[in-house]
Amino acid sequence: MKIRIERDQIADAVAWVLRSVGSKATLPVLGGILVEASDGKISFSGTDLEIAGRAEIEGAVEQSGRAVLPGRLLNDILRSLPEGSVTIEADAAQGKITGGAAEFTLRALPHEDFPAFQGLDAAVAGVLDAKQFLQAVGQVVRAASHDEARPILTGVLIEIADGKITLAATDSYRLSVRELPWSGPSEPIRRVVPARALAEAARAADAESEVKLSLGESQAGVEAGGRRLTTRLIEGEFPNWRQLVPEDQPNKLTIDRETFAESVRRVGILAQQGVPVRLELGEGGVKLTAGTQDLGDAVEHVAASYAGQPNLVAFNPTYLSEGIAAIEGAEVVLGVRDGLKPAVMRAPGDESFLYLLMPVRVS
Amino acid sequence: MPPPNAPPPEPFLHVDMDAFYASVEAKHDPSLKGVPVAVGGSGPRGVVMSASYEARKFGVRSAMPSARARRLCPNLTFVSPNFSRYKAESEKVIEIFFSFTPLVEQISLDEAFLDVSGASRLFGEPATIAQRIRERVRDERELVCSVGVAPNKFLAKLASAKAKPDGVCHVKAGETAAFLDPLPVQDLWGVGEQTATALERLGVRTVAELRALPDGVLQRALGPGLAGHLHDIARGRDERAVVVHEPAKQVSAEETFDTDLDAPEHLHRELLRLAERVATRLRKDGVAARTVTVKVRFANFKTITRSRTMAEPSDTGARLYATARDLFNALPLDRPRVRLLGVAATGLGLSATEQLRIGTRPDPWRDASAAMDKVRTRFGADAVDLAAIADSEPRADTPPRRRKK
Amino acid sequence: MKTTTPGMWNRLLGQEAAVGVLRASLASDRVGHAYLFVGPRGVGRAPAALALAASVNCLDDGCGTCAICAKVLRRSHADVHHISAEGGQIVVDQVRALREEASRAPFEGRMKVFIIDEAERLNPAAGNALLKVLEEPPSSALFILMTDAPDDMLPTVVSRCRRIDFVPLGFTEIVEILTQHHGVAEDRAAWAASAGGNLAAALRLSKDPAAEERRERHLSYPERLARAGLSSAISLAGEVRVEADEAVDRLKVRQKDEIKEHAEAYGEARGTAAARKRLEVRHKREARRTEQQTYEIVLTDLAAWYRGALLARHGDGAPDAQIEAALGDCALSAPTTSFVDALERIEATRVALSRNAQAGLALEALFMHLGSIG
Repeated sequence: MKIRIERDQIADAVAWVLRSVGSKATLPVLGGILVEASDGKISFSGTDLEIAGRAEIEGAVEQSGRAVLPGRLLNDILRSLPEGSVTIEADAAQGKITGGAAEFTLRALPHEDFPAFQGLDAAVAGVLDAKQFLQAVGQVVRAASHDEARPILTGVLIEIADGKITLAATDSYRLSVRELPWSGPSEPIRRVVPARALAEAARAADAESEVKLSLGESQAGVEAGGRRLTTRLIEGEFPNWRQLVPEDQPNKLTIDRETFAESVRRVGILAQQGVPVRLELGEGGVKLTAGTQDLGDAVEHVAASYAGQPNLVAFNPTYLSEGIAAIEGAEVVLGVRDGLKPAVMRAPGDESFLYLLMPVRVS
Repeated sequence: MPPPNAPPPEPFLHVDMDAFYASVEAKHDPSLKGVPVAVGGSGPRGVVMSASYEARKFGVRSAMPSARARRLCPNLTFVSPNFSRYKAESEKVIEIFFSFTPLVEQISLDEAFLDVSGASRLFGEPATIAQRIRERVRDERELVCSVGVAPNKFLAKLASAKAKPDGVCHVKAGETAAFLDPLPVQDLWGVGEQTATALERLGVRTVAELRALPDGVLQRALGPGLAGHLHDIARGRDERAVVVHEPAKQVSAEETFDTDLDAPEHLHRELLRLAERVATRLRKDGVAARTVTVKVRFANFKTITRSRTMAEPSDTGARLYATARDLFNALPLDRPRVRLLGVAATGLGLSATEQLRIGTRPDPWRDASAAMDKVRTRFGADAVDLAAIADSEPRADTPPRRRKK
Repeated sequence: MKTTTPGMWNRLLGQEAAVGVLRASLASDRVGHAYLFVGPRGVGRAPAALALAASVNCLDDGCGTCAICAKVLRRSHADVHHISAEGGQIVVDQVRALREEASRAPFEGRMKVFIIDEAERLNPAAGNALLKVLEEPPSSALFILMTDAPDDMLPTVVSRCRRIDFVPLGFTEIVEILTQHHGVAEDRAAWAASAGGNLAAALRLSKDPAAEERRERHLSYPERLARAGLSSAISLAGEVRVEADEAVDRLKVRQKDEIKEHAEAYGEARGTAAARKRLEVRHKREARRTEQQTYEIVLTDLAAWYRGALLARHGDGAPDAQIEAALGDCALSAPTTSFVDALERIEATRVALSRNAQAGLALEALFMHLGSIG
């Protein structure tokens, strides 16, 4: 394999790919970056078996082929080279990197051992607005579980049906769901992507206007500007979240979002160590309280409009804050039934996002 | 006449509420006033916890089986105990005590010691204070109590018993012998059945006879420790001070086994038992715990403890057990031989909360535990238990347990 | 089902029963989710596990020759994971990582395979965590646990696995495998089988050019000890120590390379310090294992001499030419009871060394005793 590329281009690409190279060291070859060259296309790939990064750049391919070179070393070398043209010549045993007057020879890693990507060619793919996609991921990812005792809940469900794509995540205490328009193939499809990986993969959408989202059999990919991040899927049945969202709530609080967020944050100072924030909902708005005998207590009244019966419901302050933060817009509508049933938060009139939150039972 | 500003010679008060539970119930439900009332379980295995004075006239007493009480007093009205009510009432009464002196030692919901040596300047003589306390309790709480005034705690307690019902008994410093002598030895603090029997064999039935016994004889019969204690007590000497209690910082239960256990199933079952005991006490005190500590003493007497703080405060045996069991299982030892297990709950004071999960109903154990508490007060502590414990009651292959701590 | 025997299962001769069960399950597509391979080291458990892992991923019925099979057998397949005790135990963090990996779709294969070696080293917390995974296994995951001490394992874990027993191999079987399937010459095979004691060791020895010379040296010890007595005991024990040190030194050269490769690949990025530490722990274990193996071989060779001497005195021929050449005056004249005694001592030393006894002292003690024979 022999290629020639501009230093800046290749240094950037390799640096970006290097972020996907982990340090698990289970397989020596995973410490390397795979360089593939054919038909005028040059690509660099790196993976830690959870996420794979692939960058494609333009350059001259003097001889097709592939080689795996130690990632960190390669990166350091490329960064040290002077501006201008860089040549990489590699075979199964070693790789030679030339730039300006400098010449480096690196021992190659066995390229047959580099994990073969399942390939997303057969995948269902579509294009999304990058900003919307990033926003959706941000809104949903925090609700996913961190407990690998139930791995399926550590993932985000991506569902395509009826011209819409829905992202949903839950840790069984709260559920966050965002819907976006989908212009790709209409066949219904459901996949679960590890939350952490999806958040990482969304990186590829940064500073772009559009992203291509691909859903394959065992991997999902986010691609933009010649760079693609692929993550593995989680197997198993994601809970049917639609069944868990109540039809509608009889009691609704419509409140300024910023004010609500601030208030929860303040009162939450005294809600440490498992102590919840209590909301007393009534005609004038809401009274927030939190506290214990030892620490003391906090009380704050927030004026807002309330429709329904007076109600007392308590929430974990972090879960509540995160929900409020995820809502887009100036106002939040909080619907409750009673102190034991799910509460649902939305932006007024906005059906594209919901945050369901279970209360804390207090005696 | 003692010099002015000298501490009073009888500064110890023992306040004992009269028929406390029954009185509180009558206060709550006036239809119970003036009639025989017993607070306790009315079922076949129930016991009387408190009897109103009208019931006492028939011979009904605390700790008596309800069946017998009913035979003695056919018109007896039974009321199920409401501990939260008694606790709330008790707190209000204690507040009254605290307004006289900071040195208040609460013994139980219906008894307290007071040391009023520093209160005489403000409130007068101890006997006067005793009366004022009784008046305030009657006026503010509509409850009756009896007070003993004496030079020390043990005499004050004997005095309050003598003062009942609705009275004051003042044992003056110089009169202690006269007060004690006619009393049976069982009335002395520290004299239980066994000691009383041993004394009877020496021909001693009253305190006077005990005082007359030569020290050597007493020592040979009961050992130097107990003999010394009785020597002092019989002469009315008790050096104990009034200790103001901090609210309980921990609730714990321990069990030493007759034979060392090593089978995981047995050890888990014991942990469950202990967790249930702790949880029941937590619920009774109206608190929940955040941290569980497991104590393990091995056959070689090495003792270790392991703790974990739970995500939420809990007062159910199931939750405490789950944490305790995880802590125990995490021990890196292979089938260790254990002679003692303990479970302690700390981080008290927070009421139990439960973060609910989507799609499931609230923790059924909370309701079940509350139901079990009710059944136990009606039918006795052994009436109901978790199946895992109940099914394991003494069988040939299970080692019997030693006395509880 | 193919009628020819693919090369992968070939290496498992002597384990007909085990291989039969596994291949039948593969053929009828009824591969279980969890297996427990029980048997002594060196009889073919690991090759069987790899063959099974390759078969479930191979697109061609477990051919053993395609790129996929080759990767698996090379231990370079991204979906075949090897778990072993780092330090003395397999800890719960390892099982948690396993559980996370098990929930993911396979990376490049059809099934994820988790091969857990020395499964009896799972500590209680790790065992319980593994139990949870075995109770609800993901559909694309296969667990293969291997142990030589099934009684030391958590019974609940054992009950969730299909048990496959691997039998210890006798001398004749080992010779047959070496000659018929590894192309080893008959007498060398006999020697290797006799010297190695089990199949893996015999295979290793048969391929090691210096092995024969080493055995000759070991076999000379009993006579030398008998002649020179106690004074030679210490120096001979020293020789053995030197031999072990040399073996470890050779290993360390390879290990240094591994560390160098790791540094080149990962540099000092976040998380590499932990990974390098794990590498170092593994290297330490390998070094100890190498040292142990040297002693094992010396003791095996010594025992072979005393057994040979016994046989010779009873009129039977010595088991092989090398032993025959090493029998001398001591073999002819010392009381035979002392040979039996020597064998017991050697066995006791072997056990002590496997329990981390101080090698130097143990060997000296043994040699001093052997030196007092004849």
